[in-house]
Amino acid sequence: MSTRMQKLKGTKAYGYLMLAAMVLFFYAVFKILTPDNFGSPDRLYSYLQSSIIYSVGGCGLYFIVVMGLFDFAVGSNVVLSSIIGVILSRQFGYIGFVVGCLGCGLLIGTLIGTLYNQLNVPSMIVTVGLMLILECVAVIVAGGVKQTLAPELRFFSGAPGNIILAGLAFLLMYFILNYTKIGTYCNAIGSNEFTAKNMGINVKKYKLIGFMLLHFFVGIMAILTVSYGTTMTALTGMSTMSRNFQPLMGTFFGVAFKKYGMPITAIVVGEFIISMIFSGFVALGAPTTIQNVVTGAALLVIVALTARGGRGSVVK
Amino acid sequence: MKKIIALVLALTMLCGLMATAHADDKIKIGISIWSSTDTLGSEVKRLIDAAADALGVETQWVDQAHISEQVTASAETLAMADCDGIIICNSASAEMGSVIKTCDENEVYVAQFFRVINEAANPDEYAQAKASKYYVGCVHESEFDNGKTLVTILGNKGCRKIGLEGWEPGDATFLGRWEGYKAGVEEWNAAHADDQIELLEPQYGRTTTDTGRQAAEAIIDANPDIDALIVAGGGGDTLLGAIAGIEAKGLTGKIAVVSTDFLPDLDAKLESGAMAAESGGHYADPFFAFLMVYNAIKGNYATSEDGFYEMIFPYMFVDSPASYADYAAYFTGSELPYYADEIKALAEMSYDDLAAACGALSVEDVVTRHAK
Amino acid sequence: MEKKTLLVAEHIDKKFGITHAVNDVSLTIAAGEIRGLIGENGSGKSTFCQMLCGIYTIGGGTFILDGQELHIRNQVDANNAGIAIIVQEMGTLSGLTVAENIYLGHEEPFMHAGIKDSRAMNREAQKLLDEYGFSRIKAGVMIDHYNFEDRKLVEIVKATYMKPKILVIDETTTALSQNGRMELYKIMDAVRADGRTVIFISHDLGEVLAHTDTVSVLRDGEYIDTVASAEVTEDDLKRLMVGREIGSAYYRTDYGRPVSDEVVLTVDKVSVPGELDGISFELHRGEILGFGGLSECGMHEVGKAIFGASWNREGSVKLADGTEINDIPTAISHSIAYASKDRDNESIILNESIRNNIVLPSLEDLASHSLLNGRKLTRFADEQAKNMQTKMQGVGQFVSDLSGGNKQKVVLARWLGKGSDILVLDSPTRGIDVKVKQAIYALMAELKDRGRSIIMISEEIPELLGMADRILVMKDGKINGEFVRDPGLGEQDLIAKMV
Repeated sequence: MSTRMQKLKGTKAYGYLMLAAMVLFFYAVFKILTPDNFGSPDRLYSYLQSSIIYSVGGCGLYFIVVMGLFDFAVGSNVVLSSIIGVILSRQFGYIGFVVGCLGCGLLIGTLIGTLYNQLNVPSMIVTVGLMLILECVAVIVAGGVKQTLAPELRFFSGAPGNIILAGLAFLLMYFILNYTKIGTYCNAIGSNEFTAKNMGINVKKYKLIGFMLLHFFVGIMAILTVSYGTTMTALTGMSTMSRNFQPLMGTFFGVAFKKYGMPITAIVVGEFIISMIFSGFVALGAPTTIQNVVTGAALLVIVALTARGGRGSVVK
Repeated sequence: MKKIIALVLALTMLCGLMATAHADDKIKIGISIWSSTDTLGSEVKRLIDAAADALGVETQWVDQAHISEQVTASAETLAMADCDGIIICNSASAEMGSVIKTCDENEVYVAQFFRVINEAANPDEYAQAKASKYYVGCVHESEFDNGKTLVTILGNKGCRKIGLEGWEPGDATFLGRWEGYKAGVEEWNAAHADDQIELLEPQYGRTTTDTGRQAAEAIIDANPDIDALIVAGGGGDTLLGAIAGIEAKGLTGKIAVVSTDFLPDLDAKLESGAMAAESGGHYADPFFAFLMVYNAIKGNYATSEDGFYEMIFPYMFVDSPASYADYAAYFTGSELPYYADEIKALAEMSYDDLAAACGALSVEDVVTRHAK
Repeated sequence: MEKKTLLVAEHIDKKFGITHAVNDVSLTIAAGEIRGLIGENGSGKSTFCQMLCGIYTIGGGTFILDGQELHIRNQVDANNAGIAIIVQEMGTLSGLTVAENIYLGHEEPFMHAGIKDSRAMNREAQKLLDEYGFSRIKAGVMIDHYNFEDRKLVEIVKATYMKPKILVIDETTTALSQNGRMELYKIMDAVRADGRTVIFISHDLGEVLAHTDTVSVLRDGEYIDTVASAEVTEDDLKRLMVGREIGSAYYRTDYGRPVSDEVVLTVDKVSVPGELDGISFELHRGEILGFGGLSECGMHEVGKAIFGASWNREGSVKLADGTEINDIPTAISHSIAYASKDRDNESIILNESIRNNIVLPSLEDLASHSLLNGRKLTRFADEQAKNMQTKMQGVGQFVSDLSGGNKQKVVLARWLGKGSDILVLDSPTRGIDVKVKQAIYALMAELKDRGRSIIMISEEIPELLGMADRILVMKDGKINGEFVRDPGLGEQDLIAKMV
């Protein structure tokens, strides 16, 4: 590899180049296969809009995934926070809606973080348990009735409302990562918890903060989700589990590109690529099953190319 | 602190368990359903709860989200919970093999609702159902006729390029309706050589509003010239999402939307043009399955080891605000198609009479019985 | 002029379960002094310092610094009290920038109303790096982009920029190249010249005597003595550490013994991109073949290449019977053993028992009809561990509880249990106390006598001179010199070919 290329590798510019190359690649594939009904500017805008909901969730998940933790309660939070937001919106309008979603999200995050710290069991287990409980709480709160957001409160259902809100969420994340100790400490804890503790970092405190931030962002995701879909139905039987995975895919992109110092961009672009693949297959008329196979394969390829350890390195 | 929290959680679990204990002398019937809280599911529950009340039957509900392993597990759960009978809405017919086996082993009567095992597509399960003493039978709609009728309605409304949004690939009900849509298109095209209808391949919007909207928008982005969209089902949320997506694109009234499973505000949607037509009102289907199992438990309906009961439930079709008004008045809100005394009377009927009552159910029938 | 007392340690004590790691140790250290702290593995020297630095809580006793009693809960408290440590392992955190690592736990000067000023942090960090002469390291870059040595240099900056009153250097030099060590010695001298104090822990007694004013000795957790560096020899220190006379035969004493002509291993034009460049050599039966050189000369890659652990190796590695060694399973099944320099990460499984570590490559041999008998495995492991005189509670004990020397004994026990004919030992005595070193040298001599062949890769020239029949000196990935064992062969001869 030339010296110049070696110097470039590892820089932010290289990271942007990689992302751009991926976007171009997938765009080109579908544009060639189905030029007439894929990839026009207004369609690209549509793909972006349908991906930013998950990007917001992906940003939230980043805080805990980077610390080596996991959270299966994201989907159940989306449902419960949406329902509470919608219920409060009936009396208090937008303020009730937004405060309800964000407040509920924050409370859930505080609960999960506290339980995790106190029980000292793996985060996966704590959050699966909470998921089941939150699903039931949502059913009780909703009274078994679908909750519909009033038409006059759907500013965030499409542009510019959803773009503005998502943009604010990304800015908030950028601020937290770059202008507070939280990002540094979350990375430190994820890197070596023992050493981080020895550096005087209150590990439990920052794990709690991580969960609170995650679920606050999920509260934002709830605003966007229920505005987008217009209603929310409380479901039990672990049916909210499927809501966890799409934002997580974006988080994987973020973690893979962390070394280039641009996780937020990677999350947003990653979700956009997944949305583009989905829409590309619809444009081709391919069935959903093939779409899911290719989306999963694309994720594996992309993360392997960007985050793969060297041959002989240990991968878990 | 850890021990205190663990103790509290254990006590909560114990209370939950105690709440599910039941008296031995009551009949207990389990209901395995995709969701008891979405649009259709909650209406099913309303009528079943009324029937259980009227007949003094204890019920146990399990929501399985139409996830295969959860469907089969639900039968085991209900059998272990000492149910005398189960009514079940499975997802794929292949699940019924395991369900019937569980019921045979535990001597629990079972009937399907909204579903039938197709003899050609699932010969093994069909044979197993026939041979089982505990498989009572099924109540289902003719999804084929449903699908065909909806496409015909669209054809008559001038729609020529129809998008199709399912909810879960492989779902038995969707497959049945899809055959109906395709048959409707074939029939139309055979009769109108110069005025063909094109039906697109299905995309799947799952069962939430946001995924429903996402799929609809993707279909429209890929096919901006569609003039109709069939949202095949999915409990109502998929449809609501699709409608929101069409509205967001400013295409309300320009794309005719049809679906199955009546929405609570169908009249408003028909008025605004958000919906063109809908088939539904079939939330009483499980009620008849419930009565079949009830009578099997009581020994009134003999079950066979060489056959089972099959009841066809009629869909109601609505394509204008006027046609919806009566339905709304007698089927929705706090109204049910059968009152408590009628439920008791139905429970006493022979199978043939019950099947006849089922087939006779219509808006007009209920208006006649419950006219205010 | 008598130097002012800076640190007083009074009756410092620490237990880990049944292990009494530090037993009532009292000593004083003056300001403006470099104090060596030595002892065998398990003597308590690291634990003593780690209590001083806040890594462990004090079990008993007090530290008094500048007349004030210390109350330290963690490293940040220690830093604030003026005590810093540079550890043996990796002390910087991946995923953070160089600046973030330097100021980790001390961000307050860059925080304004909870908002971090990253630019200012990067600026100040770069100034520090420039002052230390490490300008090639950029403050705003992720630390993951730098190699181990550069990360160690960042750690040095982190530990010293606050001008701590006491700087503890805990066996850090083994991880550094010659250049890196020189930088560290410079910093130690600067700290002393500034009237501050260094506590220098090392197993290299020559290095200790060369760079310290005084040396304190611990043994079995107890304080033994403090001596002036200028007034003692290495043998004196060894005697204090061990408590008895070390036998004069530390290294081999034989010279002129012929080595067998029988070639057991041929390495032909082996290259690894960026590491090795077409090296060729032969290994004879009963030979101890040494490899020496500067840290990045490629000698450590030789071991991996022979063992089949280099995935991008070119050239050939062949046994006498013509078998090509291209992967690890082939190497092991053809009686080749490998002990990596990075013992904890590449040679030993810390979260496993001594037993399981020892039996791992021998499971197929120990199995009967594919089934394993637990008792048989335990007996086997016990026998091998005892042959190596491993200090342990039992073979069920986890390896993570062992000292470095005993871990190395477990590694050697494993391969001896496997009956390996060719042993590739990379830095076999790194971080090991003198008594265990002696035992390992004796073992190597014994194996040589039994006809086993050993490739010894070492950064310690005395060790190469003392043990090897033949020494190959490497430079920039190539073999640059070859020396046969001779009493007249000296360090300067080897160094001339290394640099």
